[in-house]
Amino acid sequence: MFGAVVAFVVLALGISVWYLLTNLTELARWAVHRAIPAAVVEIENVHFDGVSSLVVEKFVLRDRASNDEVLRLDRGDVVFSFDAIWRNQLNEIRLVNPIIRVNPGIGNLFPVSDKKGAAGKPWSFLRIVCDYGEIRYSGNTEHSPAVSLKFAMDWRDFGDPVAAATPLELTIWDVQATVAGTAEPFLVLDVVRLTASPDSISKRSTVDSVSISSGRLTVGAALEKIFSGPPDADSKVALPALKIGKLDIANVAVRLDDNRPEIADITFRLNTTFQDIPIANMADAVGDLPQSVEVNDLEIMSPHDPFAKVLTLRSVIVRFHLGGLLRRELDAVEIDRPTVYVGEDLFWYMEDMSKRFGSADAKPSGGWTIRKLNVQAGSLVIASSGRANYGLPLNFRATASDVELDNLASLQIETVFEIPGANYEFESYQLALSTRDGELRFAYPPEKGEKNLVGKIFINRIVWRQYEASKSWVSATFDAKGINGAFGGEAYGGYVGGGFSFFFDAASPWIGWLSGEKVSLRKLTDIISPQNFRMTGPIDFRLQMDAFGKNFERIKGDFKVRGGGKMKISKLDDLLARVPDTWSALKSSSTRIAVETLRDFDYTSARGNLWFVREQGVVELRLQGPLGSRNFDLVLHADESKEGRWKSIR
Amino acid sequence: MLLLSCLLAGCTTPTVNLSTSEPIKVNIEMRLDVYQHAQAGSKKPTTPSVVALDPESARRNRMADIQQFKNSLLVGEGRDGLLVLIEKNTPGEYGDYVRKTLSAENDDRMALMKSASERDKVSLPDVQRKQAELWQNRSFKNEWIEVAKPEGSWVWVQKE
Repeated sequence: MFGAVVAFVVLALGISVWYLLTNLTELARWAVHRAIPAAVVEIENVHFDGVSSLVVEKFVLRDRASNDEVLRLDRGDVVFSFDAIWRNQLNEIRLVNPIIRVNPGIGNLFPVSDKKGAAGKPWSFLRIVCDYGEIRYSGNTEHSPAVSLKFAMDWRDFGDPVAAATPLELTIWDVQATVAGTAEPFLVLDVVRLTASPDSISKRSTVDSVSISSGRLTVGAALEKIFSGPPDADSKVALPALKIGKLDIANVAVRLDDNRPEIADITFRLNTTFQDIPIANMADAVGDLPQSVEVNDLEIMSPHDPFAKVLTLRSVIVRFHLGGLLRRELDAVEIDRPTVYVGEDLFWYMEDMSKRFGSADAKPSGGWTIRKLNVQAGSLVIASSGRANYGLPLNFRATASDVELDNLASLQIETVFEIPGANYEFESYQLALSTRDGELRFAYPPEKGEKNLVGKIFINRIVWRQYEASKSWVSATFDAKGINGAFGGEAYGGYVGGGFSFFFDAASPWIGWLSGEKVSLRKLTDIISPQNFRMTGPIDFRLQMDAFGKNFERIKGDFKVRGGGKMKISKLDDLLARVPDTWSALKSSSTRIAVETLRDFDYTSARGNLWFVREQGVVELRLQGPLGSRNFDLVLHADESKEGRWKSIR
Repeated sequence: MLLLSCLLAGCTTPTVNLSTSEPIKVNIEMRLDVYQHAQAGSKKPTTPSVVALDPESARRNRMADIQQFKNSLLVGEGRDGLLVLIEKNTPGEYGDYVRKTLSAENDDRMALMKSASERDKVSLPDVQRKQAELWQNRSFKNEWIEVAKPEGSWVWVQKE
């Protein structure tokens, strides 16, 4: 009887083993269904590979409610030994190409057991290995990023209390984060290495270290969308109170995503280390990091002429933090040695930028703010239609706070560039000047909406050749048509003022005018013709001129001496000194009288006019005094030609 | 001889008064011509009228005359980049000279503007309009210029 029972049991066991061996797949499906009732499982095949290896092929787990795929495994190998199983231990689990899809509702698939400690001794694994796996997380709202990554691991003694302090490493690569509606990922991380021991996770809630090596982060619309969304309740839950012992970020390129061509070029590298940073605060910590970008030799070209520069910046240092960038705030912009090329192209560029990025009336939303703007050692170059450029002998600088960059116009209007005082000497032009201060303004006056550049400098002393003036000023307005300027200053006891207009649209023509009031004629003639010719009295004069480049084409003017004065042609003394001794007394005396009559003359009125065309022209001087009059006509001929009716004056 | 001696001894030398009750007034009118001579070796022509000059050089040679015409308010800068005779009743030989010089000047200006039109691929009227604008910008105060009125007509004014 006993033998029969034993035989039955053996038979039953045999049948059972045979059944199990022949229906492993169904058994596995049943077991998974029991363990995860909210999921539908697909398993293509489960079989033994030898006596101590169980192989699962084509394992797919789906959410029963949504039918979304949660887990796909090409193959899983479980290596075991019976004595190890007896100790709740598996020798090896090998996952082949697992694809884990983390969906917002995945937590519902795996109910948390509240039977703590009921499971008895926990299982441990001598080795868990995966050479290649993928995790794909889809955001639960349009403001949540979707993340995909690839991973690999080779963990030993996982779950063994003896080895709980041994760090385990997870290697992640090709991390990509996108947000709905954008094609390009805003975050790409090339390699991430996580190191953590079971002890540090369970006892200190700490991932020992995370090392991020190279990648790129685009700061722009995607990040703004994420941070502009409502608080993500799920993500708060998903981010436990874990912290990272050491976070290394190396060589992550950060690029500003802005449709302005100048800003889109700004890219910088993120290299930093954090200690004991909570994962939940990681974004804020990174966002608060002070950063700076330096761009050298930036050239902005004309919108109409790819070879014409409108602005060059030798060095631009932009200081900011990532959190500020999301709010379109820059902590500071430091511009060193900018050169503004003043010409038609500059004003076309200003016009173009205003059209593209709004006018002064544009709404301030969406613009950038610079908390502190510092411009130093700026210079101006006159650039006329691609012809030779002429640098202006002045530097400018500016400091400003809370500059709104809603549009270019507002920057132009609000920023006043200071021209610091300096001493300049230009030997080749025989020019020296000492400036006091000055200023430079774009679009001035602002209420007129002009596209121009207005500069004004004050000059303590200016010396050109033998001429000198003090307490002077020069003002120039640059616009698309040319340059209009005015100047004034004290000179030779009087005041001299003038102006000029320089046209961009032809071969450098310009016009100028000069006037003087109460200028000491004595001081002036002493300089123009020292010891040869002198006139005295305060003179008023007006001059107009046409010129091309350095050449005066036409000059026309008139002058009048206020009150009276004295004329003395000292050069005639030389003539008197050369009167031969051999001349008779009568001849000698009459000559002397004639020459002295011509040499000295006291006048009560003196006036005249002049005109020159290139190197020829006429100067008329009319003197009237108690002893008669002196009328001089000085006719300058370009050559010996007698042609020209203008020569037959009188 | 003795008689002559007595006569001489008995006479005194007559006084000649050279002073004047009013100071002598001297009026001097002087014209001083200064010529710029061609330097040795220079090929600058001294008689440009006998040599066929390019329009630019020809214009340069008559610039002084044109300036005189402008100073005398005989001519003005027109809207088409050409000079216009304002004072049409200038009589005699000088009037003929003014008209002849003006005609030559306008021929040269037109030749230069046609050349610019072909070179820059810009229509001749556009070149003329721009040149007129440039000439008028460069005109001196009181010179005649032809300007557009707001309603579209044209009027001659002296530049202010």
